[in-house]
This record gives sequence, C-alpha cells and structure tokens, in this order.
Amino acid sequence: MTRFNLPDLGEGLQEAEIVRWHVAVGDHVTVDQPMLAVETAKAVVEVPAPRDGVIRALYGNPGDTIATGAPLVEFEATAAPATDEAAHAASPAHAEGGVVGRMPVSDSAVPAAFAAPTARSHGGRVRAVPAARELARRLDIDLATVSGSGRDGLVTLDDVLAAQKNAASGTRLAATSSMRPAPDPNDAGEIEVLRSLRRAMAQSMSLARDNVMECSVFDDADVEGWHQASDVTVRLLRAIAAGCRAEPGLNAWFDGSSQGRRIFHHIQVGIAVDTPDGLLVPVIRDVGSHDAAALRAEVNRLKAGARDRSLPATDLRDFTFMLSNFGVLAGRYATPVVVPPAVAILGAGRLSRDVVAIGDQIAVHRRIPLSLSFDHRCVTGGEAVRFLAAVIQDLQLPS
Amino acid sequence: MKTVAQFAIGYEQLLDAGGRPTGELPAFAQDAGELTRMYRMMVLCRMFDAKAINLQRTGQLGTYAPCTGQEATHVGVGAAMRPEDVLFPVYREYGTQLWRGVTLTEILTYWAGDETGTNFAGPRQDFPWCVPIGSQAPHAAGAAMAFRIRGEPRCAVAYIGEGGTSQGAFYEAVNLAGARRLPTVFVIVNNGWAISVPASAQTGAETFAQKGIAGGVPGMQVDGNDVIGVRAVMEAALARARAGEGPTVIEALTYRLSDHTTADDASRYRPADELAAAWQREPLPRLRAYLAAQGHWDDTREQQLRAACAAEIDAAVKGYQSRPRPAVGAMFEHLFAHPPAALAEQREQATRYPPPAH
Repeated sequence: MTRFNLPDLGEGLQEAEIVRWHVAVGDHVTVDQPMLAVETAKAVVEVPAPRDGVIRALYGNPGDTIATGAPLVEFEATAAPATDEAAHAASPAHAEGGVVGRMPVSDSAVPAAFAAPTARSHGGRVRAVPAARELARRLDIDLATVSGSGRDGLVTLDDVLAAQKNAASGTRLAATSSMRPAPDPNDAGEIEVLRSLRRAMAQSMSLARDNVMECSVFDDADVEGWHQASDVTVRLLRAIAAGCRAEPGLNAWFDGSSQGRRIFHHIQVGIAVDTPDGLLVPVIRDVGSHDAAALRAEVNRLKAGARDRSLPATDLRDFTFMLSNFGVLAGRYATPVVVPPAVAILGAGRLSRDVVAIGDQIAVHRRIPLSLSFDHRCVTGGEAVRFLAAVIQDLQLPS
Repeated sequence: MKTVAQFAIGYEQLLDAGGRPTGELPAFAQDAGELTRMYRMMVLCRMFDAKAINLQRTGQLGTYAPCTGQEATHVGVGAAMRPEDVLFPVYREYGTQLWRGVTLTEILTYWAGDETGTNFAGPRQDFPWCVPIGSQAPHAAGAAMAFRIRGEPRCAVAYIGEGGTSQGAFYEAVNLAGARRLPTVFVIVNNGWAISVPASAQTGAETFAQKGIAGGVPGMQVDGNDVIGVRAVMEAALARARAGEGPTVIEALTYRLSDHTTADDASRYRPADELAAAWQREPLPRLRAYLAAQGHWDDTREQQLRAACAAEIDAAVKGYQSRPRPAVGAMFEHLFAHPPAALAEQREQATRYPPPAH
C-alpha cells in the first residue's frame, strides 16, 4: 500500500478543505489523473494522482478540513513496487520537509493512517518551529512535555501556548487547594486538535473577540398572559421581527474596516443549535413574512438537519440577526456573543415563575429572561433598548 | 513652440493569430527545420508546465511559476541569442533557457528549493533565476559594461515583466545602458498581469516599450505570441547592440494563460472572458498552422512530437527524483566568501540537528 498525504499546495499552507472527490474506492487511476478538488486559503486546486494504482481508501468527505501532511488517499500499486514512484519514495534522494512532500511506502498490514504524531526524534530532541522553541524557553516550558499538532508532530506556537495554559491552571489549583497534590504534568492528556464545527467556533469567536465592541442589556418579558400552548421559539422569532421593525439598525451587518453598515429589509435569523460536534447556526429566512405554523415547520427542519449534519451550506450562512435560546437547559441571563458581520444577538433564558410587583400587590408570574448583546461600534444604546422594548411588548401579547 | 524631438513606437507581427504571414518572412523562417525546432521547444514547454504543476499538486515539487501562453516570446528570444551572450532570466522563461541548454531536471531541482539547480551544466555564464522584481535590468546593464571594457562582442539580455518596469531599478538600468550605449536588450514580457494587477493599472503610458525613450533607448512592440516576429526583432536588436549602436527595449505582448504561480488562483481576479479571448490568440496553433500550410506538419508528426516530449519529460522527472540529496549544510554554501557570524552559527546548528530521516 502507498499512502498519499496532503501536500502543501501553496506556500506554507497548514490545511485544505475537500471540495469534491472525482474518484472512489476501487477506481483505477493513472498518474496525473484528477482525483479531487480542495480549497486552501489561497485557491481551489485540483489534486492529481501521484501514481498509477487502485484506490483503497479516501480519507475525508467534502467539507472536511485536512491538515497538510495528513493522509488523503491510500493506493494499491498496479505496477511492480520496485519501480517508479515507489522506488523514488524510498530513495534517500527524494526530497522531504517544508517544500516538497513525500509518499511513504508502508508494508505494514495495519493502515498507519491515524497513528499519533510524535515530535521526538534524534536522541530525544523535540521538533518545533523556531518561534515555538523560543517561546517555550521564555515561558520556561519543557518542550518534551508539549504534544505537537503540526506535521509529523511538529510543535507549533499554539501548542506551546496551550501547554502554558494547562500549566497555569495547574499552578492555580495547587495554590488554592493544599489538600490536593500538584497535578502530574505527564497526566495532562493529549491535546485534541479542534476540527470541523468546533474549529469553526474557535475561529468565529476569536474574530468576534478581536473586532466587536460588545455591550449587553438584560430584562424580562412577562408572559403570564400567554395562552397555555404558546411556542416559545416561534414567539421569540416573531418578537425579533417586531424589534427589527422598531429599530432596523439591529438587523444589519457592519464592516469595521470600511466603517460600512448595511441594513437589511428581510430578517434572516440564525438559531444557535447545540450538537455533539459543536455549535451550528442554521438560518431561518425572512422571518417577518411567515406565520407561526410555517416558522415552526422551518425550525423543526433546520434542527433535524443540524443534528444529523445534513443541511446544505446555503442553510448555514448569511444570517442578519442571531437567537440563542439557551434557557431550554438552564441559565437565566448571559452575555451572548455578537458574531460579525451581524450586529446583535438575543439570548432567551429559562422560562421561570417569578415573584413580581403588580401595582402594590405581590404576584407570581411566568417570565422569560432576555439578554440582548449588540455591537456598540454601530448600534447605539438607545437603539438597543428600544429594540428590546419592542421585543418585550410583542412577547407580552397573549397570542 | 517648435518641436525639438519626436518619437514613435513601432509594432511588429509577422504571423497573425491564424498563422498567416503578414508579409515576407525573414531568412530563418525559410528553414523548415529551424521552424520545426522552435515549434518543438514550444510544445515541450507547454507539456512540461502541465507536468510540473501536477508534481507540485502531489507534493513532489515546491511552488512553480508556469509559462503557458508565453512560449513564443521565450523561444523567440532564445533562438535569436548567441551562445556567448548572457541571459538574465526572471523565473518563468524556460523556453529561452532550454534553448540555451538549461535542462528540465535543473528547472525542477530549482523549484524543489534546491539552488544547485541554478548551477547550469549548459550555459555556464547565464545568470540564475532571480525572483526579486526588476533586479535583472541593472544586472544586465552591468554585465554589458563588462563586455564593453573587455572588448567582447557579447550582449546581455534582461527579462522583466510589465509590472517590473514600475521599479526604479528598471529606469536606472535603461538610463545607464542608454548613456553608455551598452550592448543590452531589455525584453519586457507584457503578459497582462503582475500577479493580480492588470497592465492597465500599471502605468499611464500607452505602451511599456516607450519607457526606454527617456533613457535614449529605442523601444518597440512585438506580438509576443508570434515566435517568428519575436525572433526577428530580437535578432535586429542584438545585431544593433553587437555593432555598438546601443541598447533596445522590446515589449512582447503576450498573455499569462496560467495562474501566476501554483500558489495563486487567477480566477479570483481575472475575468473569464478575457482569458477565453486570450486562448484564441495563443502561440502554439498559429505556428503549427503555418507549418502545416507549408506542408511541413501534420497530425502524425504532432503525435510523434508529443510522445517524444512526454518521454523527455518523464526522463527529466526521474532524473530529478533520483538526484543526490544535498546535505543540510548545502543551503549555506555559495552565499559569502567569508560567512558572517550569525550565518555560521545557523549552519553549525543546522548540521548538528539535521532533519529526521524517514
């Protein structure tokens, strides 16, 4: 078997996303025949077959992100293994390293596809990028205790930073709890590289942190007057539409680099859905023009599609407002994160029975706690609270 | 006000896009064997390009700068030069270099990040690929000055892109060559795009050829997809230089049918209709059409040529893949006669901690 690992398709690219496969397991391929299209940070490129052979395994589906150097295709040679590419791959003359990839030949019956990378080689010296080596020296972190997430276990800057974080939390624990022994640095567990949804979440949250000037405001909607069978999610969607009609500036995108704001006529609400793989945000289109039954049907379709990951990309982009209905589980208020380019997000906490003052009387009413976060770079406090007031007013209608 | 000087920029095209002569062709074009050699080299470049890109896409080659679309300019320039002339290439003029004796294996070796690929076995005095934009022009002017001082009847040929002519170094070199009447030819390959910057955004001038005028250097345009035209104007410019009449600026109008490099995706910035139109003017079919019309070419010969080129490319790839692997310290060689301390320290570290064997 010959395994073909994803090469660096640009100049120092760390990963690529599979766009589509042109071949399937069992196919005969000839050298230079297109096998798949991948998208890198720079380009969509066609990757051809590096050799003649029969495809035995494809690692990854369209949409998956593959790290440079990770397995992509497994071949069974159709030519005698002592010739051509196999010989080149085994030859010490074959270049490797940062510029030129390689095609290892494995005689092992066990597919080595997901063998854990190791950074140890050459008498225990750890392979690390120079900046990571210097950072580890400054932070006084032993590189041998850091697990590398780069190609062939190469230790990257992020790995050192993660190790520092682990070490720091360990130090705090040790300082606050004299009853507990200091954590064993060898017991830290392997660092799990984030993939797919969780990776996308890390990226979009970093983007939000670095760009948005977030401000949050909290209040409650008194829904004691609701008919029994009210659908909370649908009522929240309708209330958001009412809020956007009162303050269109919250149904908008903001581009900080050009200081440009775009207000939308249609309200496309992204709903945060919690899945085992991470956070997914399917989008309900044109919320303002659907009745309750249509909204419920769309919510059901999107939630089901989110859970089995069957939603097309078109259902997952271009929201103009976001709703996080986290209170289904627990929690009263939160500071939900505005994900740019959108400028606002509404969070709904757990429906609760609260003691409230009605005139001079004490009563117990059902209330929905609301948390509105907005990007204060382009939304004023006045716009935000008028929006929230309109949301509350709509929510408090009996039906 | 009276006029004290007047200038004009000529344009040469000897084969039109359909492969029809626009007038009488020069002597070399009467030689079917010579035209066939030029056609063969253009096909080899085109096929090598495809293979090199596939090698890069499969991790067997580093970043590669393709030449597809520009073969006529490259081959025309190479065929006009004499062996004793010196070439200052940028990074994609393989047709010129191959004509002068650089090998496909050397090209691949260079793009694998192994600088020994620039140690050409053939044209020993040609300069290596030089990625810094516009640097070729002053290098060539300097070499031409050396030829003048030594009394050698040689010419220096500098390549530069139309984008490169925006660099100050280009004007300085043109000025020096013009002032000293140096035996230099500056070949501006106007392929339409400086990575993602279109030629229309590069200058306010009507032509890039006129950029020589202020330096006292005559400039002209040539259809860079017409290999006969390119070779003819290049031969004339070299003859002028060798006769002591000074430098020439030649703007070859061609088109980069490929991405800028394998790290680029031109579809993100280049209009699809512009690319489609450029394919209608590309250089290979027109020379083939002319050869066929003269009875010197047919499908059988085309198939034989392509098979021969494929075999040559395969052999070059095998030679590239089986070349001796350079030692880690090799990357520090040939940079300084006496390496500075910081570099010596890096070399010491690199050789003490070699990359892991696989």
